[in-house]
Amino acid sequence: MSDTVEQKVIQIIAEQAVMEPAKVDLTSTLEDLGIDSLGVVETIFSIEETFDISVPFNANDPDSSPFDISDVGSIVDAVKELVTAKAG
Amino acid sequence: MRRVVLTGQGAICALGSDVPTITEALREGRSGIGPMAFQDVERLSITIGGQIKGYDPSALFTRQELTLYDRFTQFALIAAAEAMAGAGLHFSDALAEEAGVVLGTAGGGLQTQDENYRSVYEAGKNRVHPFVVPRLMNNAAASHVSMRYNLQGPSFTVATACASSNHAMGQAFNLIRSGVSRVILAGGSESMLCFGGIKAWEGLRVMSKDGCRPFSADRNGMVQGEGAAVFVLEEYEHARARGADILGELVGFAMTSDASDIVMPN
Repeated sequence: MSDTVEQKVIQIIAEQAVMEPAKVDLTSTLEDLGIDSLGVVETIFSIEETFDISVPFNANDPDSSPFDISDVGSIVDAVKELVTAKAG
Repeated sequence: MRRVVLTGQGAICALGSDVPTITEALREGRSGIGPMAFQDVERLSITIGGQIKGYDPSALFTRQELTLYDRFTQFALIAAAEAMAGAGLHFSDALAEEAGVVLGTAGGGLQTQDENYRSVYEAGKNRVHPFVVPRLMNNAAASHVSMRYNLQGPSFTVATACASSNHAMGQAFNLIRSGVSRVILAGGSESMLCFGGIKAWEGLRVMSKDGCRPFSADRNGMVQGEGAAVFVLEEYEHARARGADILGELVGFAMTSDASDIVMPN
């Protein structure tokens, strides 16, 4: 399941960045990929829709949000955590 | 007082998607009114309108753009593109800093409101797209026009129901005449042809079921259309100095209000 989460998150980020999923590296930051603040909000929305989860993210202060968006890998981990929590 | 001329024009409506096509249709007396097509139209008693048919936004805008453009914004951008191409202007430096855009609209991003109310109330969804607010706000169209053409001066929206675009033209006229700016894009955009939009109008009981016949003895109501028109208003000496094709001159503008009734002009 976890691999699928990773693939789906990368797919979402790749779509926002308008690039091939293969080019999205786990160590890339959203900034590296050219995703601006509006793109971040849209990415979060897509993640919520895809996994039917609620992502704790405040666009006013992204750094202090519990949801770590510092790079693609941290987003994948955070989504896995939320998906696991939801599954109970 | 400075003189104000028109140096570009653009439009889209049910009769066509550019000025020459629309002008020809008007000349030929063609009507753009017909049966409307959108979700739940069969639940309406008013089913005719001047709806733009065969319109494919994905052919004109990228996916990223469309997440931010309500239909009324799309129409404004289409009309502005034609007006700007005709005017032959490019905005940079000092001219960009004073150039602006004033557009009229009554409903603003009504289609975005309709879709998202439907989503949360009817479909019971608990989440809407993050760009609902920037899509539905009444000044969205003017803002996107300003961003596309680098218009850094006055950029705002006038909302006075059916007079919105006319009043927008007046504001633009005064901005140029008084010397605030040398170039202002002005006009308006509307797209209310959706279930909620027409349902609301049905409630007023002023809509015709069969056609639009203004000033005719057998007139039985109004018919809604959709579309946009944008003009480039330019200070006369500026237009002349660059050899612009001058389409016309605006020589005056005044506004009054009858201050009497919210729906019935006296």
